[in-house]
Amino acid sequence: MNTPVSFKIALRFLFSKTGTFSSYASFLAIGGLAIGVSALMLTSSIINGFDSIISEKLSSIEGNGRLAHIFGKPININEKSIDSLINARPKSIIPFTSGIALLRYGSKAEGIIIEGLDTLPHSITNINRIIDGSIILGQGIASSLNIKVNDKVYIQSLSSKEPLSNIPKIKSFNVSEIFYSGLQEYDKSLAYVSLSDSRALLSLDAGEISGLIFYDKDNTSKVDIKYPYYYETWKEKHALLFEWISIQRWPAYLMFGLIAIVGLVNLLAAISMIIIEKTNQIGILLAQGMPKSTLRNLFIFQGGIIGLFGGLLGGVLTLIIIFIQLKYKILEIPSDIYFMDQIPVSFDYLVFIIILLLSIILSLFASWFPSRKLSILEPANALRYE
Amino acid sequence: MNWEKIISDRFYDHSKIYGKYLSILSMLGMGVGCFAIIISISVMNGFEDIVHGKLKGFEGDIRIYDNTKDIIWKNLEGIESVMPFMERKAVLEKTDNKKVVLIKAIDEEKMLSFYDFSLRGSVPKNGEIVIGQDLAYRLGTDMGELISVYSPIDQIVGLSSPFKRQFIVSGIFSTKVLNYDDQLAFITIEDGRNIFSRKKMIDGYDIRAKDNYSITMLKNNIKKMVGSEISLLSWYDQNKSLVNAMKMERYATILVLCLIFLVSTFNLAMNLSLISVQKTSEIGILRVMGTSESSIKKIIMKLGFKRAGLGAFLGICTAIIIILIQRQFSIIPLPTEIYFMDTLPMLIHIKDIFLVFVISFCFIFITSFFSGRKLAQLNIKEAIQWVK
Repeated sequence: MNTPVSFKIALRFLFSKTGTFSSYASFLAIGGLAIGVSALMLTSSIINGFDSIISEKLSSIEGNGRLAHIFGKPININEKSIDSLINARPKSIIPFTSGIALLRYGSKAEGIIIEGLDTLPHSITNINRIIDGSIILGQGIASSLNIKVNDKVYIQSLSSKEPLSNIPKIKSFNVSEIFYSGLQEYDKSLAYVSLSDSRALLSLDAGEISGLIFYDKDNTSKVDIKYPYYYETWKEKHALLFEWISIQRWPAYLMFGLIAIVGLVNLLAAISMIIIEKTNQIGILLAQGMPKSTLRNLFIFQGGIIGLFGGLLGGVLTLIIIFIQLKYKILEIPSDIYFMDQIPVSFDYLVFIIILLLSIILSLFASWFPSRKLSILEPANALRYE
Repeated sequence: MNWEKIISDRFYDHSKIYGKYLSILSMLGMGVGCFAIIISISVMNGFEDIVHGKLKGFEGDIRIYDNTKDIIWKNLEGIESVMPFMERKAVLEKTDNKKVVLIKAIDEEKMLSFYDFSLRGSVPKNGEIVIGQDLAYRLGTDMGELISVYSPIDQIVGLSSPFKRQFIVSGIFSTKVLNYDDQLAFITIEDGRNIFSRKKMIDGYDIRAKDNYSITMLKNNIKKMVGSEISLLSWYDQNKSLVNAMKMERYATILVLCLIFLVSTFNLAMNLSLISVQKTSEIGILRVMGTSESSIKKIIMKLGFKRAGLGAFLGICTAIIIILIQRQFSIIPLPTEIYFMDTLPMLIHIKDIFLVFVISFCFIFITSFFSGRKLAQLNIKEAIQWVK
């Protein structure tokens, strides 16, 4: 029976109609907490969004992982272990060749990485097969050399099997498409040609490849590779980038967590001010015989309600901001520095729920603190309080 | 001593008795806000300063694509020194490894005095080359070893063997900013003329301005002399997106951290209105005795400033002390493999502190103003009869 009484009075103190100080203070506390919670949620969704967009882009270009020779030597596709790997999963494993070359257009030249593939990653272009004699360039390199679609460019190979042969291999290509991945590293240096063209450029024999790209998502653990081959996932290849992201993460949480902490301090202040303001009423309740524990519960309830409303309001605010950003893309960032041109946001329900729960628990704790003061309160003094 | 201050102090003392922690808490919010903003601005300033320094050290203050032999602007006021250069993409080769890099041919005698980066080894003489650290690593070469250099653009297509020249690596530089360490090599201008056989002249000059001489002004002065045909870029123009991104990050952070101020002004507003509630009848009496509305407002505003202003002041002071300690003793480390420095850089300007001061002042002012106005506009009769 105790709980409903304290709960009822808590609600009365919070939302009394006359517009007293108590309800004013509770609204301010809810508002402050909502801003803090929202700031934390947005921080986490931006960091996660950044992480997931980079992951998505990298894995779409790099594949889930790549198999190659330890010394970078060409691999024969008909070799038993390679052949059986491809045959096991013909759809998700694609042979590729890779090498560096010089792209020449007019009097300008730029070093590029040539990748020979028969099927292109879907996320990059609409075409999924490259015709012999055509090349697909990244947007960064195309704009720096002023190349347009259907222009003719020259590729001079820099990787040759025999270092003694000094005759440069030059081949002309027709630019069939220009791709834009949003990752400068690729847009500025990557070009796709067909597998047979790349073999000619990189002076590989028929059937020779640089390695295999694994496009399937989850079978990585099953990749059974023996010396002299090795397998590297895109995450391992770009480990430094992800380490950078995770190092950025904690100062960001700390800084924006400060807003939430100030919000909690607000709550603590609000509860203790309400106690001060309601000292008279508390005195009456005590004189009527309400146990102190019930009174204490009352104020802890009050904190919990403020925490709940603040957290929910913050969550709703976050969802609205995320929705607006996803739909109208109002927050832009320079893509050559940040890998992407929009501030990324992503939902992570688990993180949101954790933040919400944490805000409620900390609110309960924050209101327990000032309510300790009640225990030293004497009913007679409280009634006399002026 | 004016009487409003006396009343305000009395209210203040009263509120200290009936809410010992509350006065501390309402100060705390402001303090934390000021502290967080100052610290984050200082870290951003620190990074910006180091990155700007490295970029300038590497590219000079202004680059001019003027290839005339006798440069007319050479004796302009504010120019410290000039460095002629030629640059072109070319191929470096070491056994099987090849890499396309930007080769910059420069006047080797001025190299050390003009550029500012850490160089292991010595400046290139003819037949020698200085390469970046990452480049050396990728090519698998080190100082004293031979690498070959050739420029495919300067060769006539179809003629058999490319003209490769052997260079000795005389030095390895490391800037750890952007991708210079992986993309750039220096040779002497005489070697440059030999390798870039299709280039008739140099490409232009890097200009270093005198210390404290405005780069924008110098750029405009040179522009006036050479006309608009010749392209003229300051280090800022060359790295526009990086510089702008850093600026944007700074403003965004200040904006977001102002939310701390906002939240802590909620606290202040609560605190002031609690005092208002407790003191309603006193205010009523004062009003009956003929106190003007503006005096009541002043009393409350004085209270607000005394509380939150002290908090803001303490926050700023703590932040400055931490910055000074970090600058002196470098207590906060950074992972060197990711950042190009081993300790967290912090730098604060007077104008930043002033900015924070003004922002916090505005927040406190607005909050106390409205709290004060609310109280001043009380119905006098009701106020006197007020029972809590």
